[in-house]
Amino acid sequence: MNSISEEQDFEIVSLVKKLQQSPERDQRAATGGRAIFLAEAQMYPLPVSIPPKRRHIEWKTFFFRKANPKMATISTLILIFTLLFGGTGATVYAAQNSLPDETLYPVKLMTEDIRVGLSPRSDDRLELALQFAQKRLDEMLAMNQAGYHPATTIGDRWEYQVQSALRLTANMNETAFTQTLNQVRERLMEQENQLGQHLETHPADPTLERVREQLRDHLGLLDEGLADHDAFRSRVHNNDFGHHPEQEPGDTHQPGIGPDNTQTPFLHPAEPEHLSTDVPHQSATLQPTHHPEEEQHQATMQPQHTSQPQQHQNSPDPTSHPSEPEHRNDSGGNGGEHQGGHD
Amino acid sequence: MNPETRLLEQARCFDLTALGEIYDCYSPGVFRYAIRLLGETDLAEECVAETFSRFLKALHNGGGPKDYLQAYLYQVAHHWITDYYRRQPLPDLPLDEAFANDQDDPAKTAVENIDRERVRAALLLLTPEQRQVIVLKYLEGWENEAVAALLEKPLGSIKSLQHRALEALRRILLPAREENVSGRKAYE
Repeated sequence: MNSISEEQDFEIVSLVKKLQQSPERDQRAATGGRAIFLAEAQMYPLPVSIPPKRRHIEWKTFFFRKANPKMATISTLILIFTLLFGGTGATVYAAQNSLPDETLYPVKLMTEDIRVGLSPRSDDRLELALQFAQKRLDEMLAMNQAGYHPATTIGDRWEYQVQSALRLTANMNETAFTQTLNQVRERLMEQENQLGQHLETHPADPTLERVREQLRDHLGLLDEGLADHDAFRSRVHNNDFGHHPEQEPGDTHQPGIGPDNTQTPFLHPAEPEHLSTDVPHQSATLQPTHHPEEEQHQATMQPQHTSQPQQHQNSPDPTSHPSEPEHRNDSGGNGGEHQGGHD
Repeated sequence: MNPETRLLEQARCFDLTALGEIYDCYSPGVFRYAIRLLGETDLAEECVAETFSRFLKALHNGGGPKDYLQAYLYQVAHHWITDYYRRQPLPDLPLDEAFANDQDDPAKTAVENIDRERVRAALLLLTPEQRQVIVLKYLEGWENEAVAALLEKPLGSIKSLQHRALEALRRILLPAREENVSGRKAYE
């Protein structure tokens, strides 16, 4: 059966192969055909760019990422940077007008520290310190106006910025010293006027009173500095920024200040010499001016009551007054007794 | 880059030297392919001219082959022939009686011509793909792999096409023996 089929296949193939004997091609016809072919080729305009169909294919491959990996890398990087810094940038921008009782306030403080840290010139850092001190004062006044007691940590932050400005002034060379001193004095006088006007029309607040007292001390220091440059420098280098009648004689606590418990105060690399040489007993981290129990104050604001005892207003050191603990955290382990904060 | 690919790159720029070289190299094969299926010189020349004209048009449009230029040209010629016969009425199988009585005809050449016409007519009764497999394999001497590459089919499909094509040709060209085989199959 199979042999019959194979036989027939062989016969069929033999028949088909008879067609292999094809007539020879006429050479004249072949030459004519070639000439026609080349003439037709000459009729087509020479391509000056990639033909349209081919260009379309390239776009298809581009979108399917079979070609041009550079573009894919660049677009990926753009996407990553947008996700990383686009969202962060929006958050930072939104944080700039936040108040201390708002979630984004720490972001605002952080960006301020970064701005100072990225400023290479002491002039710029001085200007930033004065600007941020003004911001802290504005925040405290806004809180007070809204019926809240500004936390002492904001006052500490204000004091930290002012002390930074005074240190930068003390490090100025003699040529720029007087001009800078006047500039700082002028700005602090503006703040004192602003604070005084505010307190005339708004209820008293211990933090604001403390700030007012510190302002006066600093202005006195600056006045002294105008008369005696070296005395000013010496006091600043010794972290003696003002009059502290409440300080106990035996108290070893230094009057320098940090912004708050949770934030490391910014120390610019350009100014460690007065810390390391002039104040050898002090570590690089500045110490807060307030007593240890004050470290337990919460940043959140307590509702303000106009019936507060009068002794709040005239106390330069709020920690020495029994009415102050309304800012204290009763969960602190330092013996801070919670007194309600509500009179 | 192999010579054919380089030739194609030059042809895309309508380099006349390259185009002339392509014509000289491949037009004889295309003519042979066409004359075997068409049987007329003029028709075969027309097929060659149209094949190379379509090739130029494809190059101009940014298409054309990226490689396997010969296979591409055979494919174009095959389509042209298929289209040609689609427009023509299918031929009758000629001169069965004459073929049967070839011993009475002393003119061997005439018999050979008749055989060729019968085979050509039988090929035209096959499907285009069956016809292409038979022509490329038995007339052009291509390997199954090359045919598979041209038709873009797996090797198994090519063998299957070949088998069915031979069966069809057997039924067409050897009908009497086919009946005998069928009868024998029934008996068995």
